[in-house]
Amino acid sequence: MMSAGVEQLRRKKRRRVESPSSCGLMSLPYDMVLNSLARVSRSDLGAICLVSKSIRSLVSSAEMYETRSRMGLREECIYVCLGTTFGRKPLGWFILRRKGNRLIPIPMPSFPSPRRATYVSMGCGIYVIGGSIEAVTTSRVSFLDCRTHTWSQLPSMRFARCDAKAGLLDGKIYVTGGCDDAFSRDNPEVFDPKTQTWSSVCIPDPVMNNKTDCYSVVTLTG
Amino acid sequence: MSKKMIVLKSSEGVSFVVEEAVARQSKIISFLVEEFPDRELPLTNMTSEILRKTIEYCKKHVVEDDGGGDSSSSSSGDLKEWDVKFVAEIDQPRLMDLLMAANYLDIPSLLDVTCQKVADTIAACNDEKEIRATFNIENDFTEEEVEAIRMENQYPI
Repeated sequence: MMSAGVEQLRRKKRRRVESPSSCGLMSLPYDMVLNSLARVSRSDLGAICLVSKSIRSLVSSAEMYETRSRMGLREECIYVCLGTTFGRKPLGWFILRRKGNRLIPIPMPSFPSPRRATYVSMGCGIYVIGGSIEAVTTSRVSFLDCRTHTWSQLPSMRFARCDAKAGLLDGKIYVTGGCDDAFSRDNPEVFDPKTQTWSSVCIPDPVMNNKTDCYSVVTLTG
Repeated sequence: MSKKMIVLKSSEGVSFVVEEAVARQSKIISFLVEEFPDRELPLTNMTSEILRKTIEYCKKHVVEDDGGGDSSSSSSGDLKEWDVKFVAEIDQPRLMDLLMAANYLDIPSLLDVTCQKVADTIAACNDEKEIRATFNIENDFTEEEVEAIRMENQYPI
């Protein structure tokens, strides 16, 4: 009896030495776990987050996002920002889950959220540009990192803008309009995410003069 | 024309004679064959069972170049079907070992197939408890933490 037990234990031990992976997912090298989990569809990631702390942090990591992008496994996703025009209730950010048509809340920033801002989706996140905070037009800009659902504040624009227009070109965000003083010349500006700086854009006078207000910006990929 | 054969040795010391073209799907073996021709290659961290499985996969996937362009031994549709059957027959612990072998020997397509099988197995689980049981993962959350995550009910990416 005794010796059989010892033998069994020894065999178990030997098996572990021969095959350190056993059947534990987390004993695989990090890259292998990432490679496997990246293939799981977005709708199953909710359940996966509940498995363990390390899996939860891996699922929300930047590496996971990059692996999914590299493998062409990113799924399109609709973000919704809800709020009433004059309401005092804070805005809410959600993901619209197409399966079941449900809104899933995501964390709000710790700083005040503007109303009537301009929203631009680029790279791995969403830029929230200008808008109005407590009825005052703001030049503030914030960024929602959609990989981790964390908010950060970016450098402010040179001008405060509300309901501004924005367009993307060469990985930069061009913003125009929305300045409070309708009679002043509009001052378009451009944000470069690489250098994290705003700079002015010169638009020739025949196109933009003191009496012209910019109503819309359209970019075309061709 | 006789095909060049090489010898791979498992951790138990069992020798496997394999066509070089078959074994060369492993980038590591491909490199070793060039560095050490005419020598048997010891794969000390691979059991005979896993090595046999790996060779079986490589045999099926070998692309024979006999001068008239690439001619795979199977069409790509058949091959996909074969892959699905191949991983379906493997149990969980051996799947993990095979995944490790694919990583160790650097066989990208086998790594692809095994990682996909892990993902499919996860997707087939009914809840997080089943995922933990299947993959031998310890639950390090407290009840409160699980509830808090459930309340959030968010998919972070």
